[in-house]
Amino acid sequence: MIIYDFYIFNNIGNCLFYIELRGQRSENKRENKQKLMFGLIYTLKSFCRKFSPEPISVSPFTSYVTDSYKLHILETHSGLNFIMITDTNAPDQTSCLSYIYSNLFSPFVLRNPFYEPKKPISSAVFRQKLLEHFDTLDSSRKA
Amino acid sequence: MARKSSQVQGEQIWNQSEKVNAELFAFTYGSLVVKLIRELENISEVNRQLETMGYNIGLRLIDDFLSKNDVTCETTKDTAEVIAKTGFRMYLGVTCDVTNWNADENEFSLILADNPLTEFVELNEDYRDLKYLNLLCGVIRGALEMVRIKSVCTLERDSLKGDEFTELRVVIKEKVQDEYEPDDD
Amino acid sequence: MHYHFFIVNKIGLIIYDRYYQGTAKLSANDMIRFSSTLNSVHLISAQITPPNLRKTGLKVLNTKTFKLFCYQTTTGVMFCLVSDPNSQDMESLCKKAYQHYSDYVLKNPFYETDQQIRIEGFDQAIDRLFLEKAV
Repeated sequence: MIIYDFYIFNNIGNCLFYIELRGQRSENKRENKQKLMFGLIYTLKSFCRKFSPEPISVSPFTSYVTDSYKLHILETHSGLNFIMITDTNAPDQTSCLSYIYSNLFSPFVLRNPFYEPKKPISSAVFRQKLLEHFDTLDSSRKA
Repeated sequence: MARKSSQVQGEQIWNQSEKVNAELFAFTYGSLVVKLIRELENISEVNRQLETMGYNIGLRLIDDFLSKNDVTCETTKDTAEVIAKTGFRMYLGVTCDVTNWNADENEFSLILADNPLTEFVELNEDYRDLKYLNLLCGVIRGALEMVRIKSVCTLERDSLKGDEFTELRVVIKEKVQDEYEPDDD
Repeated sequence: MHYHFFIVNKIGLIIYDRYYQGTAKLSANDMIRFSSTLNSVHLISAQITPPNLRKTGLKVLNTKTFKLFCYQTTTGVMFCLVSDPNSQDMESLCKKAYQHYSDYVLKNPFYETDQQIRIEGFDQAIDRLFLEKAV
């Protein structure tokens, strides 16, 4: 599996955390892209709620695919959005995203007394742990 | 290329599709042209009408074509090849050759050696300005427009007027990008 | 199991829709909103493609309760199918629907392009396509 990008957004569209695993973009473009991304998932979520044959509460959609990439998303009850972009053949990553939420985000970010909610995450340990986790999933990354 | 060549693809679809009698087809087209000449009484207007009719056909025909073919045209060369080998084979039962590329590779000629539409046609002197096959030019223009290629297609040489073969000249004016590109790379 | 099939033309208007399996019908206004949303979603999802990959728009949307498949033709018409989350082969069904569209709709000389499709033969062909395959 190839992992391209990873994002964490809160419910009002602040990008709390962002990592590019393949290729760098300029600062300006990055910000632009984050805005587009949040707008897109926000739209898709309301779209899904309306379209769904049965009512769905949180995280109405789990992933979408284009010819080039696949986007996985997990929305928590607290309104956080964990987003991961992979290659198109990747299987469902819901469990991976909830692993990140409960085993990485929760201990290394939330339990850090210096973390301010709604502010970008600066924890180096979290970043490190996350990268290690991605390395186990994306074996081609180190090569 | 991994995919089927355009020639093979055209051949297969030709074999699968239903045929109509070539004479009926030629008669229908012939009487259409004659009717237009009688009604409009002006050859250049007839040429224009034929082109417009072709254009309207092309607008629809393209979807029929794409829904039955798996084509991806990256370059103008691919496009020309697909028109000549798949398109003409599929709809007229003939293939034509692509030649006379200009240096910028945005103009080419389609050479038709054989054509079911003109088999029994003889043009008399009064109709020397008539572009009997102008409908085909319109079809190409209309079909290309639907895939966002602006083009002009003209009947360059006509076997009905004593030329050795029929030549359709296609000039690609512009490939329209409809993608939203803010400030990219 | 297929719930809903619709066609969006290249300027983002719904020109055809059909419901199956007793799904609640959406209001005309909702549908208009959707189809235009879908168009922009398609564009933006292409825009956020990671670097060095070909920019292409949304094709499949997976949710817990349904799956949406969009097949966009080279001419810009979009064929969309909403089915249960486990549906397979939605792409080939949409391509078949495209063929029916070119046969029943575009070859009908009285059909005006980009207008609402009201053609009985097409309805029947589409129903055959989606009801036959449903288990």
